[in-house]
Amino acid sequence: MTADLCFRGVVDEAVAKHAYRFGYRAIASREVDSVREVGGVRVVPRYELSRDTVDKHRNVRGLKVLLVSSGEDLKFYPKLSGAIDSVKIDFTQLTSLSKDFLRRVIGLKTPVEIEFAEVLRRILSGDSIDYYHLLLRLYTRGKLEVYVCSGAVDLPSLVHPTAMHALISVLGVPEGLAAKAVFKVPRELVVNTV
Amino acid sequence: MKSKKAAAIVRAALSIRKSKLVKPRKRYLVFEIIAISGELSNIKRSHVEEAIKMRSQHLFGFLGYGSVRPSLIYYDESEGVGILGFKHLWRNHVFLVLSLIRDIGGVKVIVVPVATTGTRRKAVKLAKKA
Repeated sequence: MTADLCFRGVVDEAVAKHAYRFGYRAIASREVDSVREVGGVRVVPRYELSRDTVDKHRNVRGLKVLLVSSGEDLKFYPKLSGAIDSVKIDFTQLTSLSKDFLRRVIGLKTPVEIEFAEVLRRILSGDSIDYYHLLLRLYTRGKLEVYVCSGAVDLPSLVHPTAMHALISVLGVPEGLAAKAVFKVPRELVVNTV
Repeated sequence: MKSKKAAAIVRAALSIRKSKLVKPRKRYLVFEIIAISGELSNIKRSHVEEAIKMRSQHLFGFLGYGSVRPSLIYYDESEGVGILGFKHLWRNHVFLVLSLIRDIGGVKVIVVPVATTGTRRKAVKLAKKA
C-alpha cells in the first residue's frame, strides 16, 4: 500500500481515480476530519500542529504532524513521544540548523517529512537545498527516519511515486533506502495511526 | 594469489574501493500521457519531444541534458503512449523529468511511466498493449 501523506487539496473522485492508478491506496489530507473511502483510496485526516496545540490533539484519530520552525518547538521533546506521528521542518523560517536542533530531531524518533513539491520548487528557483541534503545524509546513515510525500494541491500536480523515489535517489540516497522512504515508512504510518 | 589477497586486505583497511567501470546499457521507458484539460489528439510528437528537452535542460542544465539525453523513439498520437530511450545510468533523472511535465502544446497533462524494458521490441509490444 503506497500512501501520499501530504496532499494539500480536496480528494474528489477524479483525484482518487488517478491516485489509485498511480498506485496510491491511502492519502492524508487536511480537508477531511474522519477516515473515508473515495474511489478505492482511503482518505485519512491530517493535522498540522504547532507545539502549543499538540496536547489538544492527543486523542484525535489521524496523522499528526508537528510543524517545527525553530529549536524552541522541540524543547522537552521526550514529552512529545506518542503525541505526534511525524515532524515537518519549515526550512523557510528556520534561521540556523544547530547541532542541538539536530540532536533533538534525532532524539524524537519520529519520521521527518520531506515534501517533493517543496524540494523541486527550491531546485528550480535556485534556492539552497543544503538542509535537505543534510536530512537525507542522516537518513542514509540510519540516524533518523524520513518519508517523502507529494505536496500536491490538485490533480495536475499529483506525482507518481517513482518520481519521488527518483528525486531522493538523485540527491544521493541509495535505491533501497529511497524505496523505504517512499513506500514503507508512509505505509507503516497509515497502518499505525488509523 | 597471495599478493592479490594482501592488496585486498590493505584496500579494505584503507577503505579504498576498486573503481568499477559500468557499461551504460540501453533502456526503454513506456509512458502514457493523460490529458486533464484539452484534447489528447492536439498533442503532436514534436510537442512531446520539445517538452522533454525543455524540462531536461531546465532541471539539469545543458551539460546534464547532454549526458541524460532522453530520445523519443515512438509516440502514438491517438493513444498518447510513447517510448523514451535512455541509458540505464540516468533512469532516475528521466523519471524526474517526466514528473515535471504538466503542460504539452497547451494541454494540461500528467505523464505516467508504465514500464521500463531492456529491448525496443518488448517496449513497442507494451506500448501497443497500454
